[in-house]
Amino acid sequence: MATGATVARAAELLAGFPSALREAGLAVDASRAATFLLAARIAPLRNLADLSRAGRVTLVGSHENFATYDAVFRAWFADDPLSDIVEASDEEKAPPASRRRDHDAIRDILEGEAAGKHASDDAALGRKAFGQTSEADRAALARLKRGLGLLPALEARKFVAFDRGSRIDVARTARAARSTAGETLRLFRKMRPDKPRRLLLLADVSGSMKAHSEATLRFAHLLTRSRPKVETFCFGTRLSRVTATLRHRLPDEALARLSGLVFDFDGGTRIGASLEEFLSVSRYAALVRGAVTLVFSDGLERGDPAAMIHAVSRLARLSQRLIWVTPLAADPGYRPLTRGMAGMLPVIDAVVDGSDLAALGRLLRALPAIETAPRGEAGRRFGAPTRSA
Amino acid sequence: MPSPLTHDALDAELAASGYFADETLVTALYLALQLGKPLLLEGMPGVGKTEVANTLARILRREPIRLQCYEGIDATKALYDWDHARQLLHVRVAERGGKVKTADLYAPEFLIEMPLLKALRNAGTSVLLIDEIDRADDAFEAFLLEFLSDFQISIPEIGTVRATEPVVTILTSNRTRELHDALRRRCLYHWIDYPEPARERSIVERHAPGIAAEAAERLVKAVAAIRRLPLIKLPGIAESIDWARAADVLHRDGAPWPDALKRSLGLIVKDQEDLDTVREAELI
Repeated sequence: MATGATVARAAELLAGFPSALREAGLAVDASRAATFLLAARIAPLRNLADLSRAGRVTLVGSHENFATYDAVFRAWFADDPLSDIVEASDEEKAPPASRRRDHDAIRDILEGEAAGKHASDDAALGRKAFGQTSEADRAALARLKRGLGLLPALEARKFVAFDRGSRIDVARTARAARSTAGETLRLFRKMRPDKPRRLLLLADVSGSMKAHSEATLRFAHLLTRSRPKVETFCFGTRLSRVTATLRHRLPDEALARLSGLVFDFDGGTRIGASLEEFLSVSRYAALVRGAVTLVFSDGLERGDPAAMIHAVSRLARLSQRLIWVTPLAADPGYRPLTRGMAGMLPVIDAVVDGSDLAALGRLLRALPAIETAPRGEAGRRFGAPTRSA
Repeated sequence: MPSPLTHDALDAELAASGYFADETLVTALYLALQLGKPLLLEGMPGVGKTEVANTLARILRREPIRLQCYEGIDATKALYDWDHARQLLHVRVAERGGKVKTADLYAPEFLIEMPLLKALRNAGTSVLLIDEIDRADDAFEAFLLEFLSDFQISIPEIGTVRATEPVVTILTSNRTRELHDALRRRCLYHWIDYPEPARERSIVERHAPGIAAEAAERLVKAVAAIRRLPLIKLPGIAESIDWARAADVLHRDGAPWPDALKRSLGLIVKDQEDLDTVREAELI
C-alpha cells in the first residue's frame, strides 16, 4: 500500500507532466491536460507503460510528436518510484501547481533527437544575407503582379448560387416556391466556381543557384502574398518548408527571415535526395496532387542522377504539370543535354528560363498555355536530335 | 454513458471479433468510451482504421453510421436536408383543402436525416464513423467542431438537436492534408502503424483461413520486407489479406505455395515500378 507522501508525489508528477511537454514544444492546452488527468484516473494503470499509453492518446495530437513525447515521458517519470504506486489511483489526488523539474535534462534529450525545430548555428551551413529590394526589382515585381490574374484555375467541387449557372438549385427553387403556394415562379441556378489551382514551388538554393535564389524567392513571395494555395519549399542539402515565412507582408523582411531559416544557402546540392525526402512525407506529397509544380533548379546533380530522375518522374506523375525553371535556359542555344536533364526530359512539361525577375514574368504569362498544352512538351521540343549538329 | 466493458474485456472482445489491436489502440478506444470523447485515428491507407469503427459497433451491438467525407461535402449532405419535392406536393394537395400551415411543411416526414443527425438522435444505439476527414475541406472541419465538442447541432426550423449521451465517434484520416488543431484538440488521438509480423500473421490467418501455416509465415515476412523497400505505395493489411486469399485460390487449383504467392504478387503491389522493385529484390 502506498503511503500518503508517495501518493502526493505521484499526483504532483502527473499534474506537472503536461507542462513538461509544453516546455518541450508540444501544444498541450488546458483541456488536453484535464483529459489526461481524467484518463489517468479511470484507465487501469498497472505499470508505467499503461500510463504512457494513456498520455499518448490524450496529450499528443500528431504522429510526429510521438518521439518527443516518449523522450519527455522517460525523463519525467523514469527515476521515480511511481510504478509502485500508480495502482493507488483510486485515492484522492489534489493536483498541486506544476513544478520545474530537470528541464535541462529534458532539453538535452530533445536536442539529441528532435533538433529540427531549433536553429543550430552549425558553421558548415552558411547563412545568406539578402539585400534590400532594388528600384529595378520593385518595378519588375509590380509588372509581375499585374499578370497574376492569368494563373491556372480549377473547377471547385462545391456549388454556389449563380444566376447564369449551369445547374438548377432545387433546394432554393423549392424554398422560393413554398412562399408562392407551391408555384414555381423562378428557377434558381448554381454553378461550380473556378478556384485557383495550387502552385507548388520547389526552389533549389544550393551553391550553383546562388546568383538566382534571391530572384526566385522574391517571385515566390509575390505569389504567396497575392494568391491562395501557393506552397514553397527550399532545398539544397536539406529540405525546408518556407510558405509561412513568405507570408510576411514586406518582401525584404520575409527574405531576411528566410536567411535565418534556410540553413543551406550556398551549401552542396543533393537534388535527388531532397526531392525524395519531400515525396516521402505523405503530407507534402499530397500537396503535389493536382498542382502545377515549378522546380527552380539547374539540374546539376553531383554523382549519379538516377535518384533525381526517379523523384522527378514521380513528381511529374502527381502534378497536373511539371515545369523546370532553370537559369541556364537564358541562353537561347541551351539544350538540356546533361545526363540528369536528358533523363528527366521525357516527363517534364516545359523547360523555361528563370534567370531573373523579367524572365520569371515571362514564365507567369506562359503558365496558362503550359497548363493546357499536352503533357511532355519539353521532351518533344528538345528530344529530337538537333539538325544543325 | 460509460461503456460496460472494462479495458481487458474490450481487448478480448476485439480479438474475438477478428480485430487484433495493439495495446495503445485498446487504451484509446477504452478511454474514448469512458470519457465520451471522439477518437481520431490516423495511419497509412489500409491499416484498418475504418474497420475499428465497424468492429466496435459489432462489439457494442450498435448500428454503425458512416459519413464518407469528400471535397465539397456540406451540411445538407452530412446533417439533414428537406425533401423539397414532397414539400411542394404537400402544398399543392393542401391547397385543394383550402389551408396550408407552414408548420406542416417542416414536419418530421419531410426531414431527410443524414448521418450526423441520425447519430445524434440515436446516440445510445449507434457508432458514428466520420471517414477520411482529410478529404473534406477546412470549412466542413470547422462545421464539425460544434458537433464533436457538445454533441449538438442547431437546425433553424426545428431548434437545437442534442444527443442524450455522447455519441461514440471515430474519425479517420489518411493525412493527405494537415487537420486543424482545433479539431485535434477535441479528440483523443491514435496513430495506427503497420502491425508487427506476429500480429499481422494472426490477422491474415483469421481472414484467409485456408492459407497454410508455412505460407502465412512466408507471406508475412515478405510483406514486412516489401514495406522496407522504397516504394511509391506501401501495402497495407488489407492488401496482405487480399494477397493471402488470392494465393489460396491459386493453391487450390494446384499451384505450390511459393508459386501461388509469386503469381498473385499484383494484389500486394499495385504499381508497375513498384512491382519491378519488388521482383528485383527477390523476396519470395
